[in-house]
Amino acid sequence: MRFSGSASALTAAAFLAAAPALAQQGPAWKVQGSVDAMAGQYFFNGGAGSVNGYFNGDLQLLRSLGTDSGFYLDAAGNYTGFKQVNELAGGGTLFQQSMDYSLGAKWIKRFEGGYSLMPRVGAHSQLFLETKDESWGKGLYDFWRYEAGLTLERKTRLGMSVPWTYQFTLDFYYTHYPRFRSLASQYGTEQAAPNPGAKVLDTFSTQLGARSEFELPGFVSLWGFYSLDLISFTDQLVVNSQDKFMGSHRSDAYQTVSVGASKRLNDLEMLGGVRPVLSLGVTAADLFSNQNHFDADPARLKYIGAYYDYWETRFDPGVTLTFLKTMTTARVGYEAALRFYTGRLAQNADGSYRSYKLNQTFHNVFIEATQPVWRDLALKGRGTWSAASANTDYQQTYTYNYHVYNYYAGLEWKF
Amino acid sequence: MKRCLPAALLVAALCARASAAIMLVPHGAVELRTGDGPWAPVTGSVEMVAGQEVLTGTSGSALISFPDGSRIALGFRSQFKVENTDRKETMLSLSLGKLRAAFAGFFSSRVAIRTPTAVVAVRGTVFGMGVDAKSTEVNMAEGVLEVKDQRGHQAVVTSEETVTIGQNGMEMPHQVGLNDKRALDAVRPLVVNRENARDATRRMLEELRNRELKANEAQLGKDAIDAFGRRVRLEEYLLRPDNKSFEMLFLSRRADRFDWGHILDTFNSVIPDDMSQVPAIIAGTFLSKTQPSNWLKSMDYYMTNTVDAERELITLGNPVQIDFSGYFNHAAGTAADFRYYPQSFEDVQTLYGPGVPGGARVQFDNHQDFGQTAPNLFTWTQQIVNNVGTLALLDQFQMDPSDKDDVLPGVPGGAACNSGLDTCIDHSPDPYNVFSPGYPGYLPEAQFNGFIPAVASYPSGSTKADYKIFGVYPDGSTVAVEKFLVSNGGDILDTANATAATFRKEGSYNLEINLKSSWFQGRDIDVLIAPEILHQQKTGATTADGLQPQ
Repeated sequence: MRFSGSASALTAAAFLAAAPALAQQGPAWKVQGSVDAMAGQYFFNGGAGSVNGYFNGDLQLLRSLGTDSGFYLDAAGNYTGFKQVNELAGGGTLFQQSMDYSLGAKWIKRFEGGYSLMPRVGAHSQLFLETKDESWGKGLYDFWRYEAGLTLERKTRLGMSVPWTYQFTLDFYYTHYPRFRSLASQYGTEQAAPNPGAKVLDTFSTQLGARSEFELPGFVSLWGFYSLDLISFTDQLVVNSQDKFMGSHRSDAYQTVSVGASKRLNDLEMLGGVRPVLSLGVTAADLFSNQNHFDADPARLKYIGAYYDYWETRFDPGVTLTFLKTMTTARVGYEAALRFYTGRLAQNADGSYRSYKLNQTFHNVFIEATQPVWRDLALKGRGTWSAASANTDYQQTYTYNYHVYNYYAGLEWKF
Repeated sequence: MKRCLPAALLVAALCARASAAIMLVPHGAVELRTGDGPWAPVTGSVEMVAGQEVLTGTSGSALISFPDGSRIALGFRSQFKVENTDRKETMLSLSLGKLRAAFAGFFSSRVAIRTPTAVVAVRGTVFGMGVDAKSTEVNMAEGVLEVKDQRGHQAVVTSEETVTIGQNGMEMPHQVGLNDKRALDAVRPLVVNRENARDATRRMLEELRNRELKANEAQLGKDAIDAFGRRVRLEEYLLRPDNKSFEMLFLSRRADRFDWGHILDTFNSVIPDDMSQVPAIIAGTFLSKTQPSNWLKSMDYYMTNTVDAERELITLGNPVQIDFSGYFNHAAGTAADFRYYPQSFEDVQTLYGPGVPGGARVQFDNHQDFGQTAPNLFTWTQQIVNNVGTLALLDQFQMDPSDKDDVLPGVPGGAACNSGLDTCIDHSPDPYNVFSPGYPGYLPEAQFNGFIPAVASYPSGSTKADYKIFGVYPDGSTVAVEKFLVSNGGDILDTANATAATFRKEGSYNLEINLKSSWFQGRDIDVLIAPEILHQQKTGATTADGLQPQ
């Protein structure tokens, strides 16, 4: 908890009035952000990657035009020299470095009665360096994403006791992979290959969201979130049971519902005082797609409808401990996820298909610690372990059963 | 975390920076007492302890700072008391006047401020309070408070809300209007951080979806790393050139090159649209006990780097009934075991390219027939290019499929049967070999001088599944085939005992085939394909790298 800005306002207003007018200052830019400089390493099934750097910076420029409106600009950049545990862990690559850049702007317009309208725009770029023959800006999976969204917020109360903030959001995302085109579209003419579409990963998503947040007595916070994503693959054609491509494009619908809670407990009388905050999140999600899959391997020649469809559930408890004597913060979290494919079949080691559907289980544990060292500079370390398993033995092209972990440590500066 | 407040009003207080005690910094007329003791003026910073009470005059104010950086500023004519402080709970009280507080929230487990009509429990919060004889007014700036009245009603109050608690209880908390001087900036750090977090949650769904697209490419085998650390993209398509054939087209793309190939299987008659029935038709072509209704007529394996190419065309004759009792280990002459099997089988390898003489040349031709060259015998005939580049007879031998001594490995007379697990044949009687002077069609070996049929090596080490066969033909032309079993991540399989047979086993590794020839002018063909594809090729045909003197 930091009070730099608020404290100044507090002092200035002091007690000239019982309720100081914090907003009654002229428009001015405010700056905030953070910088992380760290090093870390990645391990997959016991094999270690090299130690490499992690740098992250974000900056927000805030401009309030009064109590009813204002805007802010948001810029962020990130370089990761080692893989994250959730980054295509089973897909395998020799090494992976990535860079992220994003720019965004959001306008906030407030109305009487607790209403706010918040349009936003943004652009995001992610670059990958994954193999020996790739260079920055030439990664196969580099992508650009352009975003626009509108949020309607209402801050009100649920009865006397509970403040309630709810939001309805409408977001649009256009994701473009400039270097990813289907091979058949580039080289297939000579071989009379079918046309699956060219930019098969490009998508346009419309995301409808609803969110509620409640503050309950007893240091309890509750939240719920629902979203429906309608995803159009602008250039990916649907394949049929004869491995022929139809005229229609792939469309997915992904919906997710999450609920979560956190509660601050009384301080523990140990180690100079420890403040625990417990949290719990539960998520259910499903994906429906009109896309199918045809396994063209001559040994199998198998058509699988609804290949991408699944439903999944996630459960993620966590605890944050603040050691009051040293102001060290430690977070420990666990996530378990189960995914059940409704069309995709499990396979034997030789690739032949089993009679039952594929399902996957994920476990993820992380521990993170932050120790302030001087003013807003802190030492930070994080380690994450993850394991995945599935009821399939076919791992010809993708590893479904693995364990992976990484760690990184360094300095964090917030301003 | 802990900063001095810059305003002149409280300069002195804060430069003391937070100590381990609660500090009182007076400004103007301020008095302090302990318990019910007498009030005494305070002129400088003093430490406050539980039981002490501070009173500000009409022109006075005071700042109270806590060890965790929390601060309370008292307005004029205010009366404030530290009732109790310990780790579990700190109880403060404001019996009169106004205060404004910024609480970090770490001073003790619970911090509460009592007024004559309410108890306000503090989280990390900036807020103001005003108390008179009848009511308490709480004005939240930023953060969260829990307010309890004397009737047991409880309410959580958040940013920009205000609530009045009278002797009859509290009213419904409500938000201050936008024109109220207590309203905050529309855009301020807490709002931005909260909005960024919410946006990030929704954006994360897009991030996850993008990761999943990439994962699906890998799961479908469309994305892999080859043995040289290069990314290879793979696409496989099933084509139906006509109703009697299907073609499996595989495309593999690297950053600087494109290789592709196909397997074209043609059948005797129409094959069904349901391609899942095709593997059974292929299997029925060989060793079926009953006359197959449809069978494979040819298999055309082709791969190219778009400049050079290699084709292996296997043509099968119609199935005929053959006694395979020897193959099935029956004693000779005791029990015939008739199966349907292609009467002939011809495997021709051709190299193409601008450097290849004439643009295309057959490197070898393996022919097998039953009963055509010699009655009731299988006859194998191998031809390769000779010293002048002409296809010439290299080897020929015959086998009786009803004689188990001819077909089983390791039996007496089968000295050449040394190929490990492979079913091999007994080459006796030796006179059938063209290199044997007794053979009627014996040819002098001179035209094959310099022929190095196959030199095997393991370039990455004896335990690595990197198997190279290098052959030199009698005319000096070379063909080198290097095979790798390579993981999706580009690691070459490390096994304790790599053998050629390693490549025939099913496994979790991609098969990479690199083909070089002296005719290719320094270029190579390099394809990465699923092992099953080549497995089918191996079991059905002999490749150039498999040429062995018989």
